[in-house]
Amino acid sequence: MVTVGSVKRETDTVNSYELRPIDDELLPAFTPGAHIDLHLDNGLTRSYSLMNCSWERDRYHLAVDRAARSRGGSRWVHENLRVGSRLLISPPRNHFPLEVSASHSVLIAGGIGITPLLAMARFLERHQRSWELHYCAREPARAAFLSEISRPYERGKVTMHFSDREGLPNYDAMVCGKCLDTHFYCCGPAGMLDAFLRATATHARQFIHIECFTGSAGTVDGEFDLILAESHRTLRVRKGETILDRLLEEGIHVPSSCREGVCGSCEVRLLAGRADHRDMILTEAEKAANETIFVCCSGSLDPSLTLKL
Amino acid sequence: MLTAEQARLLTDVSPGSALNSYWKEHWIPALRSAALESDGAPLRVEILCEHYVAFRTTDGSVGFLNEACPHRGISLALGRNERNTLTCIFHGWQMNADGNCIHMPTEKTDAQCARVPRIGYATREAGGIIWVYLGKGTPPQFNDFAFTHLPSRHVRARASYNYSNWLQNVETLLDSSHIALLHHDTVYDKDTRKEGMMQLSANNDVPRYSFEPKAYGFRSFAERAQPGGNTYLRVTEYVAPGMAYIGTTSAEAAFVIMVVPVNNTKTLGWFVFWDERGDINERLPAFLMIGTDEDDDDFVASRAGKLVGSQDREAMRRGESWTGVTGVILEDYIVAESIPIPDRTREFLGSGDLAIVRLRRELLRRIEAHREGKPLPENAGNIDYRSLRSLAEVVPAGTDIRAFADTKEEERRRSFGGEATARKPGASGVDPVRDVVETAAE
Repeated sequence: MVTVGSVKRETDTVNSYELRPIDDELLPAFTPGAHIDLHLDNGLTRSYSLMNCSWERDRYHLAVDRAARSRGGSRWVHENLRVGSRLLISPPRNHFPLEVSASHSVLIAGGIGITPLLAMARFLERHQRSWELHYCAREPARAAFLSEISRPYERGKVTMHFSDREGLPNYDAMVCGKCLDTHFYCCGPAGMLDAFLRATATHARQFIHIECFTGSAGTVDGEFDLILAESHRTLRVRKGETILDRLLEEGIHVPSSCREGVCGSCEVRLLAGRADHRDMILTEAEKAANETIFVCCSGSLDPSLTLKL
Repeated sequence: MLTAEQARLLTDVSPGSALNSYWKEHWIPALRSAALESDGAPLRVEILCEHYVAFRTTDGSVGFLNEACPHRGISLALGRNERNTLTCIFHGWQMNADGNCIHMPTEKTDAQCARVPRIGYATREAGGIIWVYLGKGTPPQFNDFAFTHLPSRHVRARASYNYSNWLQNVETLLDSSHIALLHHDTVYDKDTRKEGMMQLSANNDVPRYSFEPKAYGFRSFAERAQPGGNTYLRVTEYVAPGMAYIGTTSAEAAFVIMVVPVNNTKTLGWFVFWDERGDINERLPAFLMIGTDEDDDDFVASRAGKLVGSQDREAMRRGESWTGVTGVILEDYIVAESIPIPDRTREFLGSGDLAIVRLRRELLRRIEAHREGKPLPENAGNIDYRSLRSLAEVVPAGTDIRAFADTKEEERRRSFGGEATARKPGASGVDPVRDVVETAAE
């Protein structure tokens, strides 16, 4: 349980919120790239990345973009969260961790996707690591935290890209010519993530990290594409349904039993994409290898998954 | 729940099957050393659906041969065992302990003997057990288990046969969930000495499982919160394909269970007990002896195949027994024998079965790797089998259980530091178990 310490209007559509602990307790620690879930009074749960310096234990700082087509989450936050409001949150989780040993980090942010990358930039700067940030927005008025980001850094370099002026960003230019041990991070709208993945298609997968902000981070239930490599079909997994649901609806038979990720019956080979593994079977290494997925319970961290079906 | 294909891969040991071939890549514990005496009657041994004879020659070597005489296929179990040879009674063909034919009285000369295919297999005696290698080519390095070094007084190897497929026998070794249920009588019995702290499984049928992959198989953790805030931690070590360390925690004394497929509906189950500190027979865990016969070559001989139908229903009704069967071994065997090969394509597994899901995946992976011609990770020469033990301990809640298990293993490893000197047999003249009697392969 936390209380809202401050609300700041950052742009026409983006507010930032500072959450503070109710007592003098310390908030659980987090690592750059982490997010928390807010349990809203209207019954919805929404995830937001933490932007502040990850060593701060007295506050969580997040930003909410009131989406034009909000399904109720961001609109509720904008209309209801005020200073002094109390809120139930989950402890931080990190599906978008920073590889701190990298020689160089390239951070590419689109719109409100700046939030987790800001936490990363702050961490990298503090720990004297080499980094660069590309912040893409339509125009300066829509780039939240622009003034903070534009200040000079010792180890990092920030480049702004305003598409209303310059056209679409050139992702190839952002990712080429880096040293071998560079890690690349991208967070932004689906179109940007697709372009980023195309630009980094020849990079080894362990250096490429993306976080997708479609509704909730780690879309377990819905809102991603399912490419069936052997049947040559693409299905859209809708909000509120599992991959298994969608497949069975299409008449594609996959064995299943427990429907909770313990029995292993529904295992399918994964050919591309990163799953949001919610089973209890795979080890961490197996999850990271992303060679297999249990479709009754797991979702996607990427805009699409390719299955061997 | 498995597909039919997966279920077959894991259960079918018929000759030619992937599982049969995979099993043959390992040293297999076949029978007890004490079962054979020099110049004694050959014994018939069935392993992996194939039939062999075992005999001990005059000078003490072990021969493990195909049962069928290479001449016309009748049983060498009828053979005369004398003068370091096994002589078929049919035509007098003689085989040495390596399984080479050395004399054919029915031919003018022995010139053809060298052409007769060798029918013997590499053997090794250690820990009171005769181990055999039935695979192709050079045998893998013999795994250096803790009990393979000890003098015979310190090791007791007991064998048993039950009439069920091997897989459910291995699954039982990893299935922590059944302890307080199937073995209710032992866990809740106030009079039973606290062996392996099984009693701490009481009232706690839903352990939290986690696993750590290992070259030899995997390490399985089961945590049970205890009243008062501690955690009862059981760590089971699974060594592929059929071995587990369960339930004890001491470095000096332990037991291991090994499961060997005899055929698709019969299994050889080994219980090997050891204690480095003294005579093992004074320290056998009673709960594992209850219900068994005296005979170490088959300690359920009087019951096997007859367990189903033998439950004491009156005792169950009176509340004296949960299963109607006496002792944990017979309880495990009665459920195994009740359906010799359960239908694993129709199961409903839950979170309590995670260890079994893990086991099956691990085995499938290894069998597949073997089919692709890859070396078996469990046979890699650099695994420290000697330091392997299970754990059963109460630890403070929040303990890092992986680090805890690693620390314990490291402590055991360091205690073996002076191993060449620390393991001398006692001065009382006990002879060490015959340790390096390995008949040559090719």
